[in-house]
Amino acid sequence: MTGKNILEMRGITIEFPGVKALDGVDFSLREGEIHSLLGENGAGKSTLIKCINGVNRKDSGTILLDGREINPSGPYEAMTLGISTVFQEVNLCPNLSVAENIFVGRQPMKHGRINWSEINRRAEELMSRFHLDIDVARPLSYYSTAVQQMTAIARAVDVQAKILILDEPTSSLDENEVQLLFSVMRQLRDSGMGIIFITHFLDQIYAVSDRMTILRNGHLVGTYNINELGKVELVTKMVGKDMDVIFSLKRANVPEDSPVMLKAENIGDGSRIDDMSLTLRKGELVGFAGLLGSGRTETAEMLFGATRAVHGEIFVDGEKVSIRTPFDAIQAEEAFCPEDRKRDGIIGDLSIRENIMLAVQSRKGFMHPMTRQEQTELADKYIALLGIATPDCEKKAGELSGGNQQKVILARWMATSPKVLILDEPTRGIDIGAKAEIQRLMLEMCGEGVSVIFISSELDEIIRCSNRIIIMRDRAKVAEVDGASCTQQDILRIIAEGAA
Amino acid sequence: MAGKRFDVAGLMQSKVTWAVIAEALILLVCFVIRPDFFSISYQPSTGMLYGSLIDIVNRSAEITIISMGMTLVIALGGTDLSVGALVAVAGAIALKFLRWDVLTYTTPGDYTVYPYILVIAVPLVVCALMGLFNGFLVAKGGIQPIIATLILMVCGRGVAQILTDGKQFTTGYSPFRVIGQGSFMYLPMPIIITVIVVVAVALFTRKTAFGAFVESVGVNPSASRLSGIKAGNVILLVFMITGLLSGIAGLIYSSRIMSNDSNNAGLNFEMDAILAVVIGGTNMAGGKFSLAGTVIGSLIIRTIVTFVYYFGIVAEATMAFKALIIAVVIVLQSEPVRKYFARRAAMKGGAGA
Amino acid sequence: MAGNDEMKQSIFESDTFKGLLPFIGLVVILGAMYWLTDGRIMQPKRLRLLLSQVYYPMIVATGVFFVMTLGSIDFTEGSTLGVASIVVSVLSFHSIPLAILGGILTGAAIGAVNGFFHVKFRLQSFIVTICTMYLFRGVCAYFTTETAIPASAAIKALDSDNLKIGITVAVLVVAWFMFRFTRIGNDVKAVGSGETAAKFSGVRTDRVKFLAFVAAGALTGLAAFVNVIKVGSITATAGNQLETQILISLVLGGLPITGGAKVRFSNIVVGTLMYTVLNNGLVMLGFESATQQLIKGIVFLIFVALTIDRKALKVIK
Repeated sequence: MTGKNILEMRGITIEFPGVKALDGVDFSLREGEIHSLLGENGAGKSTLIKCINGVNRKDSGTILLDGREINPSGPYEAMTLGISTVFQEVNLCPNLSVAENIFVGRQPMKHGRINWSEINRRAEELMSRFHLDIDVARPLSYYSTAVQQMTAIARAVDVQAKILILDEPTSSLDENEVQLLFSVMRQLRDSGMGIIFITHFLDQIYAVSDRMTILRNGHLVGTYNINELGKVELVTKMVGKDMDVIFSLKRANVPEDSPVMLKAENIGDGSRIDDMSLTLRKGELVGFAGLLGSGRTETAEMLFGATRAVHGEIFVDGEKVSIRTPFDAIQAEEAFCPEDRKRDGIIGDLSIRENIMLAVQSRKGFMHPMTRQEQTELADKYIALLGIATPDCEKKAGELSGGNQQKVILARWMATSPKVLILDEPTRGIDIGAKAEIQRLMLEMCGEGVSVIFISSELDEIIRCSNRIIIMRDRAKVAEVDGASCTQQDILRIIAEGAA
Repeated sequence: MAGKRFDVAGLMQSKVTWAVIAEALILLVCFVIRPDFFSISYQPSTGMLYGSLIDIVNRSAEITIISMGMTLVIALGGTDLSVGALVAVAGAIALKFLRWDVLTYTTPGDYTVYPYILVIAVPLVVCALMGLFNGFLVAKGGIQPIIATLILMVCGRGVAQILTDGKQFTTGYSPFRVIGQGSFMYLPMPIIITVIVVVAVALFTRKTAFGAFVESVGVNPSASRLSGIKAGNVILLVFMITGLLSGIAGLIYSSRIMSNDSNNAGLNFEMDAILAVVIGGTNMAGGKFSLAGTVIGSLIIRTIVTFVYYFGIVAEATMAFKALIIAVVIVLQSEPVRKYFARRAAMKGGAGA
Repeated sequence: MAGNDEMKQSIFESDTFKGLLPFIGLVVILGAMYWLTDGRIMQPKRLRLLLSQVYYPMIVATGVFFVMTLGSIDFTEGSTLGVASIVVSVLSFHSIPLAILGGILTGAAIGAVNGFFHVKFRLQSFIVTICTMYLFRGVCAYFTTETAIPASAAIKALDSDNLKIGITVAVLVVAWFMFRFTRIGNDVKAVGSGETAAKFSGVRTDRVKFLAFVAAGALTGLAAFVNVIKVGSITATAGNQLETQILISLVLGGLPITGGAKVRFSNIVVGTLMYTVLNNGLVMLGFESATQQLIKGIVFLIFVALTIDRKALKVIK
């Protein structure tokens, strides 16, 4: 476990126009260890690893690999040096086959031509190491995000790497897949590889790493052995202030006689979900628990008209509504933060102001425009209210960090003063401080009488916030439990075995 | 000091700045070679102002009008290749209504067979509907704009020829002549029409939220839909507007020649319009658009052509010459070059401070 | 909102069916033309004429295929063919091999210009190639307006079906091998599927893009040679509208405009044949050119509607 240092970084400084992204950071990685890199968004984790693999150029400092100074000019050169990276956004070609993806840029050759049988054979071998028995000749897009993630890791592992960098590899994996990934990581560690692991899930850090390094605002906070630091201390070090607030959130108080705000009866989209029913009372927060693909997102999309319900009925505030498109849902005073923030949520090239005013404006129709001043006032109000970190409302939304983007989307919907707010994984991939704030906002809105549906893969936050929890499995509702009295184990058991 | 320095760098980053600089430079060259290039004189016989500058604006009318629509199409992340063919269609229909049956009305003269209102309205309606057809293929059919509009690009001219039995009509109807050759307030009528169109499109996009919706759909259609924007309707409307504007351009074009020319009317207009939009600073990938930039882009293209005629460069080389200058402008506007100049400007400002 | 759509996919939306559709289309169009012309289209004389119109578009389409696999677009084929044909004609008075080489180098140079500006200045291929199209159209017009440029008798004497078939088949075989079995061919596909991913995997994306444009130009230059031996002299209209023809052919052949992994090499052959058969059949049936355009447009529309991949709505780079 205490091997020699394979990677040593000393005094790394990287400046971007206007900011010091990293300021004199030291970092070392030993042979045969899993080293977690921690910090809030913008702390410099990504910048640091992008410096190791040559995507970002450092302004000063040295990087030593096995004692020799290196200066990789890009991911490819880093790869030839033995540094392999799996990036946060899965960087693969969706239409190429799994095997092609693993070997692109370094196809094995025979007699001057690409050896396809060798490619497929080796790809199969690699995937079976991950206990994945799949047809590697199929296009990658055919498979789930988890398989795609595994493909990216398989690719990184296969290049005889000394150092493997995993940037948020688990954010789209379910519990079993995470365990699978961990077993592969341990296996690689035991064979002497050094692994740098970035994640926002604190439990996972404790489950798999040997050491951790914490960054804050581009500065090194410290490097610790895993048993040296408890969770609360760790969070405090990451955020730089006491974070009691996260652990002291109170779930919404729903009076007994609170009216039903949203009711869905036997809705189905004709293919994926059949006969889903639920009720949601005014000011209530209902959590959706279940694995990826269990039907959580599909149900939410139907309630909002993103996919059309071909049968069943939806009532909002006691009135039957016909929801065929998101526009109809907005007219019915619903709001929806989609799961894939980048693809379905943020409009990156437009300013924060334009992003925030969009839903309000689309409800009014384009012939009734808001004046520039109204837009700015609206945007400034929510920037202040949600604490969106930006110099002004004209900054491009795409340039914000993940947590701030999520707040912009939340602001877009809060501005419509909805009766029903549906949040699909609003806390995924954002740092712990922003997570806590979003949970707080959610609960505040409940207090103001908004009914919230909250979808998350993290059971602890679902349990912490929900009045009621709907558990989904195999595209159907299997149970409804009370949020105040259930435990993680109860829910996990139902997810695994179905309702008792 | 810091604020000012940032401004210089920001200005250097803007594509519209470069378009304005380019236009100014081309005009400067014209002025240096022929100082009378800028002279404008009044011609009492026609009641119009004359001069190279007037001529440039006048002759750029068709492209400016079409490129107003093209700007919106490109802001949506698409392209419309059919505009040139629609120009031919509009001309064909107008002349058809003016002359109808050449066997009965054998000589062109100052008459129209069908009411003048139809001569104007029907081409515009047909072009708008053809634009709607493009929009329908894109919005409801899910076909890439470049492919969807290629269909009308291929068969639009065929339609124009079938409408006129492959014949070329001429007319002498004076109210029709006014569109392309008349004048109003000392200015050629096409300039007046252009100003009206530009102002109308600008008001429609910027005084309503339509422009914001177009940009939003152009950047991220999926997120826009989930925010309640009816993306399909936005696309339909934009293509319909572009069709309608192509029709207006077609009427101006055929009024200039008082004839229809299914083979050459509007030839390569789609390319010129796309170039005008791109020079004007709107990104082909969609998103933010600048109508003012597009107007300047269109003027640049026309200035180059006028320049070539004015200075007697061999006619055959016009196209090559035009391409060369446009290429220079576009390269100057490209991201690497703009960044380079912005960095230089920032450094200079820093050194001065 | 693309979820797991596999299960509700009907047979008409399956990839296999879509892959077969161009072949079915070719057979349908061929059958229809056979029936409408009472089999005249299959007469040896007619067939020879038809084939003689296939060679050079097919060679050009092979080059453009690589560019479009990248997800880019090339509008310069027509003007490149014009300029390269002039070079071939002029050099043909000196030596035939020199003429061939000259044609290929001219084309490659134009391709290199396209590639250079596309890659170095990060300009969309669409815009770059519109500019170069105008530029070289102008160059071509400048040299050919007064008189057509004649080619030497020696080069015209080469006109034989065997030679043209030979060149075309050789080009197709070499290109197929490159596309399927060499790294560069695969890199082109990878860049088309996901540029960033390819770059991070060590594909030298800029070089790949540049080379694809050079290849497209070079093959158009070779096609110019085939064109010259057929037509004998070069007028201002040489290669007019060729870019549109190639674009339509490849789309008819099933090539997705966004490029990437779903392209098939057969797209080139099937598409070019389909376009030529349709074109010839309509001429034989005695339609006026206006009606021909209309019918072509409608066939194209039907085809696009059937083959469109709704999931891949991206912008052309």
